[in-house]
Amino acid sequence: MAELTRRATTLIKEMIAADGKLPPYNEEVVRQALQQTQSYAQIIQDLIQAAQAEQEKRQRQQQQGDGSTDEADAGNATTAEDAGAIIVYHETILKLKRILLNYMRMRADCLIRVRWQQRMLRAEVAENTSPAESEFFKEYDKALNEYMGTGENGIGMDLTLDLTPPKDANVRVMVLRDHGSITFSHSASVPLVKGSVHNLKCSEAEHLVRLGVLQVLDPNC
Amino acid sequence: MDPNDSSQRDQSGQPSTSGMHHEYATQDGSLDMGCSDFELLKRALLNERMAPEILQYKEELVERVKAGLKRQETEIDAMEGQRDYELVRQVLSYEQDRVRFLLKAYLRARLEKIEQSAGSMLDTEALRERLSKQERSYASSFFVAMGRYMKSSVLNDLPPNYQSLVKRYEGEAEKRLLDTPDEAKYVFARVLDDCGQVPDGPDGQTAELRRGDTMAIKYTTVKALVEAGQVCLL
Repeated sequence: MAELTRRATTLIKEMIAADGKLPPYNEEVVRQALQQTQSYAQIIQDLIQAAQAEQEKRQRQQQQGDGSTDEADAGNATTAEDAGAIIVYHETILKLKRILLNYMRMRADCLIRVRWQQRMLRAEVAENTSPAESEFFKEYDKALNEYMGTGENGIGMDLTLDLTPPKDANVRVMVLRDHGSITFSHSASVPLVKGSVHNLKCSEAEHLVRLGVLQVLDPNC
Repeated sequence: MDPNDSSQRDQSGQPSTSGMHHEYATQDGSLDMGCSDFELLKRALLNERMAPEILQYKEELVERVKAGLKRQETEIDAMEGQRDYELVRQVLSYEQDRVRFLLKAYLRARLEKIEQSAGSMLDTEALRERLSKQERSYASSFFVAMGRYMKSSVLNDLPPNYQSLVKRYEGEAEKRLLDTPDEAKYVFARVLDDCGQVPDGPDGQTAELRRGDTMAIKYTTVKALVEAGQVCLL
């Protein structure tokens, strides 16, 4: 059975090797695995039908009083093999289902991480997603926004901020690229010119650090 | 100043730093005297992080903490620009950051558990009751989003008997594909209050839990005690 699912298992290996980043959606292997399940299901169907036909034939023979025991024994032997085959194919379908669902779940977890760390689906991540995944990202984003929002179902707090326990309220940052002029809460408007160093409150700097505009100089917060 | 707002100022009229606390914890952190909200929140966070299943939502505690945070925000803003209060303002500001972190970490830990086993939480009445109203709504939106994704990418293309999101195949009665947490996992626990003999083993063995004990123990043994607040996880 491992041989039958070998190609599908490469999906999982791919996700593990990607180590947190989202690799391109492997449409080909997924489609092939799904086709496998369909053909195995068909085989199972055929085997069951053949066994049933065999069963009926033997019943009719017994009713007619045909005492050819050799044929009956041969019939029994085939049914035992077929039963084994049915079980193997059934378990293989279940294993393929499990592999595929796990592959999808690992990718969904990646997207969830992207939402928490980067807030939006950037181009370099988006090009690796399938249409179903972009849809999932949108719906997850909506659910999370509703939970963190101010509506009836919201708690009114942005949980993606304050991810680390604070050591110091202020943090020294260096500006990595021009970002115009921003007014922070404790001072007048600050021009974010590349190369300048500022003292900012942790909570406000966090967002810009995440975007890549600022770089933290003191590992304080 | 609001004359009813006596908790914010002590005798000399200086703003006190006890804005977040109701009463201070006693030396040995005993339950009886009532711990500060800060202590309770920290305990709730640790319990939630270490327990394998989701615990009862501490609605009152969260509401109190949120109100306290808002109160302190206005207090800090009021002190803006007054040089005499600069140090006090900074200390209050640090405290506010810490409390805000604890609160968010608590809610985040719960969200993580919901995302892990949303299906079984929505399915089991007892678990559903442990979520707040907002968490329940989030859990169902999450489950729907995940379900739709699984259906459109995998399940709809599987053979007819195997298309269920929650069962392995039609004909099996249990919903094997829903994740349930492993309650038999071992956790570190500290006993806050004497619990006496607690049933511990399959043959009626008991363990004695005295206040101050710290131990590694199966979660199932202390589950009820954690809920009651007599034991906390580390």
